[in-house]
Amino acid sequence: MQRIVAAFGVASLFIALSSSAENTFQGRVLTKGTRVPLKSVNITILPHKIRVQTDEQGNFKTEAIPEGPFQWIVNVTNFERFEQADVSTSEGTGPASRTFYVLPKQTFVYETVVTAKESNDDSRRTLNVKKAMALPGAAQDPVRAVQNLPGINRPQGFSSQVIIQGSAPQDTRYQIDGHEVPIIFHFGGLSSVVTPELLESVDLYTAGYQSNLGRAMGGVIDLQTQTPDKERWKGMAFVDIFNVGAAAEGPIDDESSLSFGGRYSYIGPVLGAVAKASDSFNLTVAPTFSDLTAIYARNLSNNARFKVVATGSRDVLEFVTNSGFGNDPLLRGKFYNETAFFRLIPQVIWEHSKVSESRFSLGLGRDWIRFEVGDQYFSLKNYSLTARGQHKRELIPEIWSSTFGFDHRYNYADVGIVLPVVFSSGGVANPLSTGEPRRAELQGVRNHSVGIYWNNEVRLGKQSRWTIWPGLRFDRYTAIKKNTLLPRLSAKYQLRNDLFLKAGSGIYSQAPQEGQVSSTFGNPNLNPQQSIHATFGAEKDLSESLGTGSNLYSGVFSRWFDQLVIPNQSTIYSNDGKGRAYGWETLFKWDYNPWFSWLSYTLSRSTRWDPSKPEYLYNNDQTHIATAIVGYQLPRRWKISSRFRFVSGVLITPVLGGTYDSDNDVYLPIRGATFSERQSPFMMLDLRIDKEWVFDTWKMSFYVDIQNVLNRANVEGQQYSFDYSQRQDVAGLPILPTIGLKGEF
Amino acid sequence: MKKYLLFFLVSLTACSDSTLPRYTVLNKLRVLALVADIPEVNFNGAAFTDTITFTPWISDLYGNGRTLTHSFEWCMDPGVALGAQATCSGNPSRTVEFTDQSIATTATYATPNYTGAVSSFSVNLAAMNAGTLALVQAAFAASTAEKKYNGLAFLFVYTVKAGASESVTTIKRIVYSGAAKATKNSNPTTLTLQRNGSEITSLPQVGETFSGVWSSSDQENYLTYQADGTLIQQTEKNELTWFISSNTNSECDIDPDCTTDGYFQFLRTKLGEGNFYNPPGTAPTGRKISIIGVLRDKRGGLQVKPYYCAGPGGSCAATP
Repeated sequence: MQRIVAAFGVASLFIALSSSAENTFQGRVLTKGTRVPLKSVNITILPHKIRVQTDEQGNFKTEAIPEGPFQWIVNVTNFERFEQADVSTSEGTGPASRTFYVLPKQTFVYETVVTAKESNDDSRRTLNVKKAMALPGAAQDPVRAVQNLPGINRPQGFSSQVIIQGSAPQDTRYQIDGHEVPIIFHFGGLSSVVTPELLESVDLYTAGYQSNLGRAMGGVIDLQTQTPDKERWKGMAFVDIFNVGAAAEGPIDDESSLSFGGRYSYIGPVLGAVAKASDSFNLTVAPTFSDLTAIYARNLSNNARFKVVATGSRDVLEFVTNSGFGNDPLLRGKFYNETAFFRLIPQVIWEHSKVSESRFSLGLGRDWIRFEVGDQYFSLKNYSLTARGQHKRELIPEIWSSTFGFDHRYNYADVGIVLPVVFSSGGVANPLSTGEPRRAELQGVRNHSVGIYWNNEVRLGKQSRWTIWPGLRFDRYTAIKKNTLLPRLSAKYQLRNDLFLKAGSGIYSQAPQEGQVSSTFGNPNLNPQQSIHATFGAEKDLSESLGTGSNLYSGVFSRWFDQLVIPNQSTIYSNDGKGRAYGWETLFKWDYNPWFSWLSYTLSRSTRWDPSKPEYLYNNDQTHIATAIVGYQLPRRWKISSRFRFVSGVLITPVLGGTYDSDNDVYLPIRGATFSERQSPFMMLDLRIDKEWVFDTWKMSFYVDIQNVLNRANVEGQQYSFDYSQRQDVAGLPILPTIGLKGEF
Repeated sequence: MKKYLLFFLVSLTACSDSTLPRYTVLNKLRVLALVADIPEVNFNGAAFTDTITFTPWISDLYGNGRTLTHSFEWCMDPGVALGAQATCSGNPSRTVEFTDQSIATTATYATPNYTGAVSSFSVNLAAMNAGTLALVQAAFAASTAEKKYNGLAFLFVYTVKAGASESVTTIKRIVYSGAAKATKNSNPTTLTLQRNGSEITSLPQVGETFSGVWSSSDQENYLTYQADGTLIQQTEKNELTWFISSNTNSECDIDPDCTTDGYFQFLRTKLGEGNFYNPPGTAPTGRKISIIGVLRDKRGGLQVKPYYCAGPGGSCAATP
């Protein structure tokens, strides 16, 4: 019995000793799915009420935890509560290791618009790329989401161009990191030319933009590339019914990082399968596009940063119609269109001091554009050099800062053209067959455009509610040997903490298109086209009353156009056109989780006139442009959102009949009053459903983006019978579901 | 241009089925060609010596022999290629040759086919009125050497009317160039439409490839004066348009798959290209199938070659 008691006593002592044994733990707390470290996060260990905190890298280390079962608790704002049972034992030689993946709460990601906070250009609206990608109808492309903003029109006819506030499509300039590129969208505007995951933001500059930008009467769309992640490697790959793509980014060493990505579209084979089998129409290579982008960033020193962006894009469309079109004998045979470009954009930023900064960047590249219709062609092989530089200095602290800069563009091109000069008026062109045939083979065509600007930001006192931005820009157009001097002024007044009034005005110029000043195809004596902008608006932050991120913008704009290039029967082109565009636009955003809504509306009018025509409505006059977006977040990481767009129909010039041209075997159109007939309005309802699965070290998302849910036949153009006696509308894309799958790590 | 390409692509694929009338199907009042026996005339800066004879080719298959009238006028080309309206109205050099005259029927344009050449008419440029000639002389004198060599143009406007509501207006330009251009343009003359390597004498009963054949000499070499003063030689690339009568005056207008007097695969062909012909099941009643080939050199030179065929397997001839 004593032995038994003794044995029990020893066992009890052992147990007692064991239970008083303890162990330590170390590990990391990471975001589930993306592995982003969570810093300064409190970890609670129950029931011992031990608390530890993660460091900058998300690492933690506990004190000794008594042996036995216990529970980890991680509670972080905007993350799901993390709980995990564990056991502390005295076995082992060192601290036990743990990694916790904490699931972020599902939130709506539509905080897309940031209005000019960094550049202080109140004409600018910035779309946050990662958030804009998830908008319905955007099909994962943030640049397409630009059309949700007020004042943005869409041209008719499958165009990928963007019309800003009643100006012409060619009045919009496209840039990547401030350097001009020939296109911003692939064919038909289906997707932009840079992998969205490698973009930081999409900046849209509308009426009244400041003097650091120029040579565009309408506005500017600038894609800002990201700086690759310096913390960790991450990547993504996606596939949908039109594209496949991938991107990756991460650190190379402590000071540098790299990202790269690309996409390839197989829309050609998809469309080819849809195209009717026909002896007379062969879709040989049609249409395909691809793009590749790589970004390298490096900290040169504590106050100097370097980044280089290499990006290229290629679109090819080719088909053969053996039969040809009755409307035009020249439209027969091979149709070929290729647009490709490459840019290398090195950029350096020096922060000399807290009050002084310099930026310099180059855009080195080539453009290839080739267009063939039967025996006719246009070929451009262009070397492009663009340069931007500016120095900013705060001259009087908190009162006056000033920026001097330049913006240069140089092209060296070989151009081959065998095309007729065809008359076009009111959007109705004569058949190619009736034009005067012209031929030109030009080697080494040079074209400089130089802009010099001076921007200022002035506060009228340290406590003043007024801020003004006076600026001046000088542009030199060497192709036409003309200069323009362009003053600009904008101002902001803080009426209350949550209410700002804004105004801006300035003069803007733009060179005629290069073909228009050709001595063979145009008029080399043209002047720059000019426009005066004026804007006034108010922006109210509604965060307190309606929820974080809710706000309302409302404003008016007006543009006067002068010296517009128009067709001329004796000189081919002249500067006799004038015009005006004005309107009211508003953007209301309401963000109240799990709901999100967005409403933008523009009421506008755009007119043109010239000596031969009294004032008439311009074909891109779209009285009403309305976009409504509503989203709702469902449980289990499902989201559903929808967009409805309404745009007044575009104006066309009716064709009253035709005159038979016996020499060319074709009818010439007899035009009615210019842009006197309005087409039916454009209406489209889009629907998007997202589902996300989050795993510890990666996540996968699936989306269905259905465009034109109602399958409305929106008019995108007109076809005429050979003698113009009958007309038929060409409908836009029918209901178009895009199904995509994306994996990220 | 890319926009137009996309427009064509999409309109040719799934989004839009064209139901518009086909160019080469003849079932309403049409002018197929206005042939001038001299497509380019010489001008020495002072006077003309040529008389030009014009022959209109007309189809009005379902007009049932209704009375057609025609009008003809001409003027100095106001710049139609550069967008000027194709009319002589208001033009100081306007010369009206005749207005609303009844068209005289001919052996080819006659019952029951109503498709062929109608009676010709002439314009004697040498007899141009003094005021018009002065305008022409002034314009020529003010022209560059390039223009004088390559030529300026007269615009001839020909209008055919069927009653008050239906009309077709046709234009034709006749180039007048200086004496430095020794060789003027001329009409092609050797066109034949063939099957099995021989000119058509009958129609097949099943589908078969036809071809338009012309001598390579019909594709003339010509010189063009460049702005820099040099001359470059070019060669005409003639193109043949295939017209065919229709067995209906209505439905075929809008239904591409309906039965016609047969149909050709292509609207137009170049030298050496074939054109598949699919004949109808039966011959048309009371008339012949009209197949009209119009060859153009794209500089104003024209040749028209008609064939009138008695249905599938039936014989064909150049006259009805």
